[in-house]
Amino acid sequence: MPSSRRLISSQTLTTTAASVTFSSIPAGYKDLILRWSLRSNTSSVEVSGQIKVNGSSSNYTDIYLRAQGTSPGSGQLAVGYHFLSYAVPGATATSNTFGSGETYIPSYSGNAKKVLSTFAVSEDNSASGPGLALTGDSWGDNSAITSISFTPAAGDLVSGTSFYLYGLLPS
Amino acid sequence: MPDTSTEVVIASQTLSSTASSITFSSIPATYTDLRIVFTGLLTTAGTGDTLAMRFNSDAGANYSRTFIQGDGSAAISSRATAQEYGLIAGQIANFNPSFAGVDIFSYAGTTFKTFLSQSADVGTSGGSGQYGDVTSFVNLWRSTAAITSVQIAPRYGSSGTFAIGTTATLYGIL
Repeated sequence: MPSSRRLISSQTLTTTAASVTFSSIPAGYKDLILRWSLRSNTSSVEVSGQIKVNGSSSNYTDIYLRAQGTSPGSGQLAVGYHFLSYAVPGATATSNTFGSGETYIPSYSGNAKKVLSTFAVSEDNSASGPGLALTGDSWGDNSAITSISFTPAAGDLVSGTSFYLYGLLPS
Repeated sequence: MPDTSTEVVIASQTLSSTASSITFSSIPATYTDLRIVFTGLLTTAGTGDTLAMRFNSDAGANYSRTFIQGDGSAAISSRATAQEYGLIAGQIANFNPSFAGVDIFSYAGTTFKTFLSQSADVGTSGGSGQYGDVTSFVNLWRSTAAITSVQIAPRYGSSGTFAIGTTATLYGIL
């Protein structure tokens, strides 16, 4: 019996990069899954991440639930990207720690508004390190998603950062 | 590309007309776990409703749950026992598609069944007063029967109806 998950593309950085982009995403799947392991060279313990689809800087609305070792919190915002709290460990986070996460995008090629659901985590064995966040986003655009980019809020992604983009069948 | 994935599509439904529920029946017992991905809307305006799940048509008080939720202003957690259905999403409404991913563990075994969901339901334009939440539910179905059918519906007892285009896909995990 055929399985449903297909690797569309992957990228592993061998040098720093400001962002990672997957372009020309085919429409032949039902859903998309983006998974990552990453770190930034910015001089802080963590920064947020930013996902844009189709290069768009508009129509994103986010609600997040996040925790950083104290009471969990929630907020909502409408900025020019899918906002990912605590997603990216920075240069002052414990060495060799990378943040991980997954964004699920159902019905990415349909002609309705899109929803993005992300669970991003990072832990670095410190009292003031990053954290974890569950974030939902409504992208109020009916266009099919053909590209996805990830950018840290500050600094560059370091060598060893990796991204995997999967498509789920059936289309 | 080699086929190394362990996820298999068992069935998928996309509504071509409105419906009060979506049901997957005759689920084979050949997988380790099940996963359901739901994306959809309600037809009715308003604040929306929770998204519920039942197994094997069991409407008895055999479900319990604990959840953590962020509604854009605060994080909350609560639990409920002896419920007549499980919950898998905090809110589904009629303006933006809602998402729920549900993992049903050891569904064909002889112990009680745990199912875990992650949902995203985001309002129209952000800012205060908009509907929406992100929620993770853990539910328990206190039955030793193998799960052979799954039904997804707006909260049972509500008048909610799924809109055209609402989609649910059932995966088996090898």
